[in-house]
Amino acid sequence: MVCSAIASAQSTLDDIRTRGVLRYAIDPSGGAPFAMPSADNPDVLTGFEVELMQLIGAKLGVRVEPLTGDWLALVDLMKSGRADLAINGFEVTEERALEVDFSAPYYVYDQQPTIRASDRARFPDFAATRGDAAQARAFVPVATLNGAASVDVLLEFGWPREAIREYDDGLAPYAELKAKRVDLVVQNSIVAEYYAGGDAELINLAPLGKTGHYAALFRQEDDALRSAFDGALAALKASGELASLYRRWKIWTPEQESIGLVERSENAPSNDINLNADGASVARVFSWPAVFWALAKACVNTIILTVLAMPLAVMLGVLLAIAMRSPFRRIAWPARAYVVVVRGTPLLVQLYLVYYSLPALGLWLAGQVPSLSAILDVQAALTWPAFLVAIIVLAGNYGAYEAEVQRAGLDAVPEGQRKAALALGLSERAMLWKIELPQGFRTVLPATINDLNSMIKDSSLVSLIAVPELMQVALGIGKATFMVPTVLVVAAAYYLLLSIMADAAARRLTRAREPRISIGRFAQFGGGTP
Amino acid sequence: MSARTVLAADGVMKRWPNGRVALESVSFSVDEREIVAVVGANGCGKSTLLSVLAGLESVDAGRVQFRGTPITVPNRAVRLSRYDQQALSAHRARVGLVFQQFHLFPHLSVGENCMIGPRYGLQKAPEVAKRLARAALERVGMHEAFDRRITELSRGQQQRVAIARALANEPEILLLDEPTSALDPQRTREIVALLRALTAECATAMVIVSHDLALVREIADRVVLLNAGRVAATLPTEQFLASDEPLIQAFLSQV
Repeated sequence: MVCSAIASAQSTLDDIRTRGVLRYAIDPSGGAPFAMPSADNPDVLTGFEVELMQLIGAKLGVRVEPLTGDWLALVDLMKSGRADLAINGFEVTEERALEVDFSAPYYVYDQQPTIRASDRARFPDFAATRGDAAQARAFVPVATLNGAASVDVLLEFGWPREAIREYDDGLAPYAELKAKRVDLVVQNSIVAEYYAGGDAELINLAPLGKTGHYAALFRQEDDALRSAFDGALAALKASGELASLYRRWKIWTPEQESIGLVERSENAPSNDINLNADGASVARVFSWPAVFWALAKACVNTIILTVLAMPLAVMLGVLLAIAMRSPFRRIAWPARAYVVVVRGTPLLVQLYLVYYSLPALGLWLAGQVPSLSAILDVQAALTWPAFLVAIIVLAGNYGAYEAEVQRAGLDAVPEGQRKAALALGLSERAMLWKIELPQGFRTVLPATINDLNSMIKDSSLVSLIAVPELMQVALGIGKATFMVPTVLVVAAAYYLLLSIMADAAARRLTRAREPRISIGRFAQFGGGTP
Repeated sequence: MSARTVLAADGVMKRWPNGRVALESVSFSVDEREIVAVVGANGCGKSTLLSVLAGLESVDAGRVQFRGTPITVPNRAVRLSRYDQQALSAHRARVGLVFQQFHLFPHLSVGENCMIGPRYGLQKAPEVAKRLARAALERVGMHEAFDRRITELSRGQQQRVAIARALANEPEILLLDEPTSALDPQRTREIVALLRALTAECATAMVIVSHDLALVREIADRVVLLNAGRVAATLPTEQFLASDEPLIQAFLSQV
């Protein structure tokens, strides 16, 4: 067991050296200053972790490539072997250590309380936000990042769970604070510095002295890779390069010395010692043309996805509809089961399962059936590219809905039409393809166009599996520039435009063959026999 | 049954799933060039008989023969082999059925409606199917409407296209269900002239189900009176119209 683990660990590092590329999982929509789309070119990632990885890559002699995905999915990106490691403000905790291995820490953070500037008199210090100790404690509502160490710290200070509101990203708590839905935000100092530090409406109180560490995540069997990473990291700490990087991003604090960072005068910029300077000034530049262009480019992915997935979904739906109507149970029942299961489970779960669980299944299979892995690399065979998975899952999911739509269309074809077709000597198959399907398809065309519209919007879910698309890019830019609502409105306008274009295209495409069906007169021909 | 017999029903019995009798030992035959009118009160089984003859409905007993070959239609008890299925389709293609409600295909043009039988029923090449469709439309005087939509046509024009669609397969026998019920007297005369010409020029036999005694008198050689699923009388048209048999008298007085 141990031997095989070491063997596979060796191979991961060897693989990286052979292909010359180290892939790291990171979420650009999670926010600054960790990783975000660059302001002048939103296709390029920037952030102190992105730069840290570039330094590590230079030390290891390989190119580094970010693999972007939703923050919650980063661990699975790494576990499924699509990325070699994950790095994105992961706090070192005991629970996480059960599942993954941590690198040496690269940053020390503290817990930072933030209040509205107008509440300065009400809350002179953090203790005041917890109410009067002598009387009953009155904890103010507090906002923080979902799943972060801040939650544990708040619980430790006695906050009741119901007073803690958790948000999916670092920016939202401050928006809530300004909107007076909460009176306090507690987040990791680095996040607080970036989002609240330069904001005149907000004040950062003294840090709580509850420090913790950020570290990169590795698969537990990849010891060799982790050691190589730690070696490169130690060199960066000792040479002063890392301290210089942190200064440039204005996230340097003296605590960093506790994990071995050394400041060297030749590397240290002479100005910029003040932690409270506007650390985000670089990223906060908001360039409208760049944003429009970046979102337009993100649209292309959304369009390609829909253009490929929707015809597949309709074809699958037609086949399923035919199967469901079959008099043979062996054909009809599997089709019905497929429709029930796929329609009854969330698209998000299906994406997740196909993208992350298939490679894991392959790994497990390879372990269970060694003879199989002699023939082919099972894990590689089940590790499909993200774009392919996105198309397959979207088509498979919408195919189930289309199956019911197309079935309704086939059921709506009047009995007289079938009789007329058979009377002319058509086979059942010719009748299906020449009479029933064309008529059924036209009857349910509005429902199919509805599905097309939903798919355009549902395609935003694929950012979960690292396919960049409109929503993810919009959120990333919005958070980096503190203009989430504005950018989302722009993204919504793009979606609206796509939807209108899709509508027109679908109608045009189907009108090419058959100009008009008047439902009223249609009924005239469809009347039953007397 | 002679060599000139095109289609023959022999002791055909048909019950509906609810047990009601639709046809009870119906026997009769149609010869080449012959026009047989099937008459009777509503619900006497006229339309069912046409469906059975066209190979669309199965029978519970008896048999239908086309040119001496028995026709088997699948039902709950009979499942056809691929070979029998093809034979059945071939039979249907050689029998032209014109529905009372036409059942034209609204998603296809007039020409395509007439091409689909030759193309997919007779398995002809597209050019041949197009030629047959044109010829059939020409015969009913609708060839100029080849590219028009079904929905753009009047009722009388639709009746003609429905006949042309059946004719495009060059059937040996034409089965018509109430061909004049939806038409005014002028259009009725046109259809009658058309049907007469068809029998004269193409030797096509016909079975016409109709309430229209004027039509029957005009073109039928023979009349079959159905009563409650049974053949009550089979007589040459003049004898039928002059008959003093109580059942015939009862029918004639109702119309």
